[in-house]
Amino acid sequence: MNAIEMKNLTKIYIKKRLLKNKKFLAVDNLSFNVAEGEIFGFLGPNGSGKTTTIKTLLGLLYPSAGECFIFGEKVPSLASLSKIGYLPEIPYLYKYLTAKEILSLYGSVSGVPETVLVKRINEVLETVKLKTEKDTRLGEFSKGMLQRVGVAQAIIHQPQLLILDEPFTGLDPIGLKDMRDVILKLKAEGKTVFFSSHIISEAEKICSRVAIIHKGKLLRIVEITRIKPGSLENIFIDEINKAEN
Amino acid sequence: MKNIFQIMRYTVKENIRHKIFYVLILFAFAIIGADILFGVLAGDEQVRLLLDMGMVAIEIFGLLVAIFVSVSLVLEEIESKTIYLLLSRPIKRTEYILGRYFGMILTVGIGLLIMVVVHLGFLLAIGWKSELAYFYSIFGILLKIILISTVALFFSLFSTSSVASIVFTIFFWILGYLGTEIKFLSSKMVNIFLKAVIKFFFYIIPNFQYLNFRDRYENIDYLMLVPITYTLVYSIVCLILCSILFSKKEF
Repeated sequence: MNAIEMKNLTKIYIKKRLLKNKKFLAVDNLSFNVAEGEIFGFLGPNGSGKTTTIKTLLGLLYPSAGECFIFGEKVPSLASLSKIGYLPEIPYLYKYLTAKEILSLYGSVSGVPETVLVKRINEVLETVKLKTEKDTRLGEFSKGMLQRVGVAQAIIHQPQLLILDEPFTGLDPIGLKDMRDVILKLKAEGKTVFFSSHIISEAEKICSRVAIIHKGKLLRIVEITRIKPGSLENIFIDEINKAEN
Repeated sequence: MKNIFQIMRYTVKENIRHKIFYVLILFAFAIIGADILFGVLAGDEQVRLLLDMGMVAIEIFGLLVAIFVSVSLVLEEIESKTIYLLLSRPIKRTEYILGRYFGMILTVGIGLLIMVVVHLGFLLAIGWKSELAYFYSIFGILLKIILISTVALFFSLFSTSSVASIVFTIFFWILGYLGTEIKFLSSKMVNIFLKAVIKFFFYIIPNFQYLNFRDRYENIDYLMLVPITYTLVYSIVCLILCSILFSKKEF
């Protein structure tokens, strides 16, 4: 079964004006599938429609046309959301809660039974190396620590599919390696990882396939095993240049 | 139900750790200031003045806190984008709205309780003898807070600006005290269109006359069926509208 199935997904933003509404085509007839258990990179320059696509998968935006499915469940639905763990580009977390409290909130609303919640919180805090800071309010955390809490909240309910929006942006070399290790560990556990990025080198290191999009349109799907190592960046630039011309 | 409770719990934590207690400290100072001032100026009427002024202060502070907290309840979460991580979980949008709303009511209720305790402390210290009418008046204030909070929440979902939402809510708050006058005005109108507009306003604004026990302190009707039913029905209708608006929102 496919983890993600996208059929002709289109999203048009409508800016309401007094005389005439302004329309902007953010995602244009996007169709592709992500297989269960793979790491799939969603690559494109800034403003190419990556975050819009992700928000549509999460039910934060409604498609203007087309449809998406998560493990066969139509989006948006509670059934599809229960299978997803989401990490936004910037971890938008409540600064007045402690790491433990925020994981308790997200774990609880994601359906983790109360009987195992405390154990599960300790496990994920161990995974992201924040066990000693569990009672510290997030307002006192550094950027890197917040990113790790972001990862912890995404995996607290052991979702089958991880959707990560620009997970490598703004990380230092150690942070990059940690993030790569977390993603590879999730794959080893049988999870599907779908992430957006414009950092091509990282995508090439860990993905089995990547999709290149530009101005909301799918340009190409690349299988990493079928290309020369280190050549993804050139393929990406070529595709974008071709689309521009 | 579990989701509503969880969202309610973090809403209470958010409000208590951030905003409401600064206002309460301000209130405590206002009461102390009033007590000292009226002690000097009022002579024999000190108890009466502190009783009336205290209840007015409790009502104004309570309603202002309720309006500001309700308006920022969802708007602030949208602006800070913290809403993304909650709505990308398997929770219904109605559960989110109800959790936030009940959390806010609970916080404002706790604040109201603290203010009442401070007020009662001063009243008892200057020799006031406890009266049932006082507690009914405070209950009336709580009902008003519940009503105005739902109105504020509705406006915050309807418009995207918190300033506009606060202005609209305060406009409704003021009109809420003028129910009888609006009804009288509509009965005097000759123009059918204007009559209909004013009548429409009369029905949609929260009618605080039903809950204004404070103004009828000496003559309170202790049967609370009408005020409670009115508050419940008005709030439920408002919350249904809030849910409909919120379910269509994109982030």
